[in-house]
Amino acid sequence: MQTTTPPEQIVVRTMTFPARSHVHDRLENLEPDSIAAIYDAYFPAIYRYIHYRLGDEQLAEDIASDTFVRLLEAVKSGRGPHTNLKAWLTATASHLIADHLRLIYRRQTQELSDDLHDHASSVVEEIDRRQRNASIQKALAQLPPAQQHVLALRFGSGYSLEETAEAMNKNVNAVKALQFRALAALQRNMGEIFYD
Amino acid sequence: MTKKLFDALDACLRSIELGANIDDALKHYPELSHELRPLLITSVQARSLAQQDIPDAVIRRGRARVLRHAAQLRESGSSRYQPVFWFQRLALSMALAFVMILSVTGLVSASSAAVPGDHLYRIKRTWENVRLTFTFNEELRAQLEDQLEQERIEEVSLLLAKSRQEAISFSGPITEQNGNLWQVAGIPVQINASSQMPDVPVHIGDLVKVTGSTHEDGYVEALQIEIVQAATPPPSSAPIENTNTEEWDLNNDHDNLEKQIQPTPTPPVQENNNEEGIGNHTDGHEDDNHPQNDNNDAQNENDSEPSNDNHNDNTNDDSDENESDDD
Repeated sequence: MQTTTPPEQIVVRTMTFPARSHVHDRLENLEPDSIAAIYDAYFPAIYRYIHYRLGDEQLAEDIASDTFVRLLEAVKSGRGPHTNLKAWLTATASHLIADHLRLIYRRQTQELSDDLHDHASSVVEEIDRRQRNASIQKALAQLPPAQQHVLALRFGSGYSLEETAEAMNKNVNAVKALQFRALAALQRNMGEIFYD
Repeated sequence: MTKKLFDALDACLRSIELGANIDDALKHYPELSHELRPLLITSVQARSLAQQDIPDAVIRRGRARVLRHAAQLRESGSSRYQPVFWFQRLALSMALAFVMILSVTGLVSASSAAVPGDHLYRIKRTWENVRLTFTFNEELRAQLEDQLEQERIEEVSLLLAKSRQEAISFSGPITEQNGNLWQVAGIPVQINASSQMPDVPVHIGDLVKVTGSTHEDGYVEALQIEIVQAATPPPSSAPIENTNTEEWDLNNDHDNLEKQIQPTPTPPVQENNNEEGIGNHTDGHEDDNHPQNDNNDAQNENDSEPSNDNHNDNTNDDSDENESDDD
């Protein structure tokens, strides 16, 4: 037996977005009102997605607004989204996160000893909740990008299974399998981190 | 089983999203509880990372930045597409046309030294055709045609000098016929069994078109010989009309031609020791002083004595009559 969710409850959790063609037409004209409407509709989910992936409010704010700037530039140069604006924004945010992580990785390899020292001192001083979140964040960061992506969409942005499938350009069953494997891998990672 | 597990996990996640606890969510899947419970616990922990409330200041700052960028894009876009005045367009068009003319002229100039097989050779020939097409004065046109014919000969000479094998075609007078090796406009031309020959005999002095390929050994291998203009027979060649009893016919019959190239058996009443096949047919048409003939004297005897059967492979326009006479 399977639990079914009433349709109206799913709608409550799903943002109501403007129709694509209408959005696209308005975007091409760079109309302030239209851009503001699109921003208001999409920004929270994009921000939450980035925050979930990186665990940093300032970074989430910067990268989220960067994502919309990229959208404007893409539309202006004729390379904007043509089918699914939400999926385009999510993919762009994911790319920006990847760029940021590459920079962080380079910096960490150069300043590894300092980071270890800071990390050790900060762990002692942080409260339990922050310590737990940091551990989860660390376990999450060890997952493959696709698994991080699906968990960030499902739990960070609050996307439904169908919205996640649309954003990832996959079918629903593939997303079900992916989220299962992602949770299993996260559980293993968390076990190892907490054990250590 | 696996799909059922995936479906059950998703259903439990939805229940938790709606406010159920883990035990309630697993109530419908007791047989999968031991597998799903750790995952659901992990999902609750993973969900705790999500930021529920976004500060208004964050949203306002982001919106302001995006709208500011949109304004900059609009401004830059409008200046980028400023209308161009008509004289600016005209100047641009003329500059483009000038560049194109320079490019074409340079290309044609570069192609002038091209020979068959070169990349620019087609351009060279195309340009020649253009010149011919737009030369309406007949005298100038004839001069140009002569010039182009000479150009073809020079191209072949160049290919032979470089020992390159390329398909060629050129026209010129036959200056020498020594066996199956001819000289056409000073170019050595090899005739072989597969060469396609005209239906009528070919004489020294005839203007012919040679189609074939250059050979690395320094001669042109003829695929086809066409008579462009037959030479007017010199008065001294009149007697040859009836000299040959066997026609030397350069026709398309390859078997016959091979036979002609091969040393022919000495006929019963043969006074001529010449074993040459192809070259001999001209001997009867030439005067005694022609340098290529080793057996001029004997052939001239034939010329002067039409009643003698000459079984060399000599050609003669009136060979049929000769044969009938012989008979």
